[in-house]
Amino acid sequence: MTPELGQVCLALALLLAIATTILPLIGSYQNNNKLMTLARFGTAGQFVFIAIAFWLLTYAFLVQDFSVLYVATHSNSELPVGYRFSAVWGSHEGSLLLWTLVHASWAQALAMFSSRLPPAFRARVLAVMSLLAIGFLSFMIFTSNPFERMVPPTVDGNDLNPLLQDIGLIIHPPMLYMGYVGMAVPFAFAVAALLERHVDQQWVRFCRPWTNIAWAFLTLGIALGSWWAYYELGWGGWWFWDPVENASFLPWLAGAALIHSQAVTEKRGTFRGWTMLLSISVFSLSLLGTFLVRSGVITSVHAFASDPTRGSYVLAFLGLVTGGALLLFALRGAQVRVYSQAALVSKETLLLVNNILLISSCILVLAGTLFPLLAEALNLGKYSVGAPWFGKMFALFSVPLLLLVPLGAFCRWNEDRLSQILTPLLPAITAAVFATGLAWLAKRDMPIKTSLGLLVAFWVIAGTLVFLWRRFQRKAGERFTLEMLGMSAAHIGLGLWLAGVVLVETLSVERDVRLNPNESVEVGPFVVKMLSVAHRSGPNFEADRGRFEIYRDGKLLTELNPEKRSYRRGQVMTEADIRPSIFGDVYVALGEALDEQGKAWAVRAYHKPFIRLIWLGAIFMAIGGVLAAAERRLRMRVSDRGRAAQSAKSSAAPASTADLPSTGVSA
Amino acid sequence: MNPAQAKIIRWWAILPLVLFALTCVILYLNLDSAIDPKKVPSPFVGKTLPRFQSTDLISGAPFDSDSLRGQPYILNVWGSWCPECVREHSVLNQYAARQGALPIIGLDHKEEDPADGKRWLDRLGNPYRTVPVDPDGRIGIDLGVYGAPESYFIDAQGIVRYKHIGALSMAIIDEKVQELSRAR
Repeated sequence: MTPELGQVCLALALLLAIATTILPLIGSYQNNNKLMTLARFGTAGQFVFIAIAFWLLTYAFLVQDFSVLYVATHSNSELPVGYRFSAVWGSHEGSLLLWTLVHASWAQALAMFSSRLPPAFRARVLAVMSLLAIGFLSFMIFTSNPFERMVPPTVDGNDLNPLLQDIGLIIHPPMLYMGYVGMAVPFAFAVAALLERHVDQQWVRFCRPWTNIAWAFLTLGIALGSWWAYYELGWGGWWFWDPVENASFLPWLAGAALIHSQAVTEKRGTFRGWTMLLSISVFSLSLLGTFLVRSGVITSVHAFASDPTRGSYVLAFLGLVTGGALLLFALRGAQVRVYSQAALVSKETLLLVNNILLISSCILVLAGTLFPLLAEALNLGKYSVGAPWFGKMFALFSVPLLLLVPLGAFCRWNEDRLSQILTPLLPAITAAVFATGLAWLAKRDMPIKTSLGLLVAFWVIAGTLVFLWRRFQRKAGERFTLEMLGMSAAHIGLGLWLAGVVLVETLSVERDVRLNPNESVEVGPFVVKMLSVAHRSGPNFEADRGRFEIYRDGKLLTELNPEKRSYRRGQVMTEADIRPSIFGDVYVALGEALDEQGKAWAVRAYHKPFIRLIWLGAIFMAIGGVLAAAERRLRMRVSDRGRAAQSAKSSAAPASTADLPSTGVSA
Repeated sequence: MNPAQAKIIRWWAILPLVLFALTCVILYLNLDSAIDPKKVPSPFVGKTLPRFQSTDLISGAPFDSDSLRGQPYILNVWGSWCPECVREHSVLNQYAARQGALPIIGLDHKEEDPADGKRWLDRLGNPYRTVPVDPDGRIGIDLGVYGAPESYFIDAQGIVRYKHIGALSMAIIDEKVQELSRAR
């Protein structure tokens, strides 16, 4: 019975979502309070039903109900209990259910914490969230039902893909979806604002913390995916420019641009149309990512079992949602235009450049990802765009962007002088040059691009630290806010990330060698010695387990045990073993047995200097996003009176930049 | 802001919509014009399926692909180790139970232990007329098999009319079987 119950829950949630879209919208135009309040209850109801459905599918995995097709194909009686939870989102149908649950949770959080918004606006935002829920729910119910029965039932299921039997994959998808779906919040705000009689930018202040938190989750999700790929795929890479990775990187880049443009709109009242457009784009890019992953138009290691019906559905949904929002923007967006009077050297200009560079790199990645599709559509043949192209082009835009980071923090709104920005940064420039010099002394055979990359990374970090230090002293009435702390944390994270990328990409040592027992290979400063490879049995796999000793300067550091696993259902997995350290990892993976007795093995031994900085940087960025979201000023009431005054003001002087209550303007 | 001003539509406000529409068209063309990356062109489409010999998984009787000449059939590649095959199997069972269904030959691909294959068929049902075995995957190499599940639609002359990579759905079977009968 339980699977059918799950189906009923999904159907009820769909009906509720339809009601919650239509009724509060009508209410918001007729000023009918009852209909508007309905939005909150409807949102709560959807959340409850979807949560029940999600639990029922989890339960089916826990009790191993192999009469459910999804359970039978993605679980097995030998599957350890912990992985039965993550098996729920191990494939298309269940991950869609997780996606829908995450969406419902965001909507529910929005319903709970939005009492500061004017009632009509609140009703519209929740109605847009429900509209999106209709899309996900009907996609699931009509094309990808996770509760489908299997006739006849089977006594034992197939196994979960062993790639997914891993801690990284338990938390990676929920984090990533929190980020993807969280971007629905700014989208809903922008659309609700466009539905208002007077399109203004008051919503941006309320929206900023939500964008920041969603972006922080997206950052963590992507970093977890990268970390997982590093230790689980056995190639020792951390980013592959794979279409599906790109699909998550696109909303990340656009989201970073959105965070900055929202700050300008909230504090200065300019960039209004642009912020609105970005809010729509970020979520649309999330949807585009879903389309790419689930429709099968792109080949990728991550792609789900593809099905053209699903593809057409996601495309139609994307067309309706994004097309509808952009149409609204085309019709009403002109209302929001404000002419900025900021000088050439000003924070506004720097943030404009920031946005241009971020969006350019986003378009670049999008173009590289979609080009093979375009070529196919025009019958130019099958193309693929490789990592070297992405890497080079991406550096082209990110280097100038990174160079500007410390300047942006120091520069004042409206007008500033270059000398005033650069003078306090002189110590940072000195420190960066000095630190790069030290790095060169430590490793003299360092290529020139490593030194240059490190110089940029040190500049970003030192510049941000100088900013922090000066603000912390609070000279001359300058304030120090959580928002600034968050920004600084994220920028330091960016610097750490860059340092990690530069060092890993230029100084990694990778050796693929044939080793007999007691032979060793040198990787960077380490010596990897193979002792033996022996057989062992796991709960649902058989493995060849290597014993390797790691030496540095003749001293034994540790023993590593990489494995080559054969899962009962036929898949073979390479489990690398890693000696992690902030200064660099030693990475050992088993290739193939090279002789009949299984004594000699192909071994991959890597030294990955400072690779941990890449993920540490991401953690800093995520913390930064959360800190900035905690800023007190952003939780202030958006009052109806303030809005009325605001719209009166903007109709009187549409071209003014100072038409915003000046509470938030920080110098 | 006065109403007249509000009605003005500016080119920069429409531009995103236009760009988005173009992107959607590209995506749609990819979806529509059979550019499914799984439809890797098979060198045998339009040509005779290479002859192969093997034994039957269940009876152990010898099997020769030439014995199938004279009638259209579906050659389905499967293995008990293959998760997608379970999903596909219920479709095959349903199809095989139909009146006038074409025979399905199930090539048991890269099965390490024939007992696994037998147990799998006992458990899920057997839609196949015969089940030639391919334990070392050599037949698979001759046929150009990428992985299981994979299916060949073969006409009465033994010519491969269509090859499908991935799980079959009832819709695909119906469509391709119709094409086979039209080709006759």
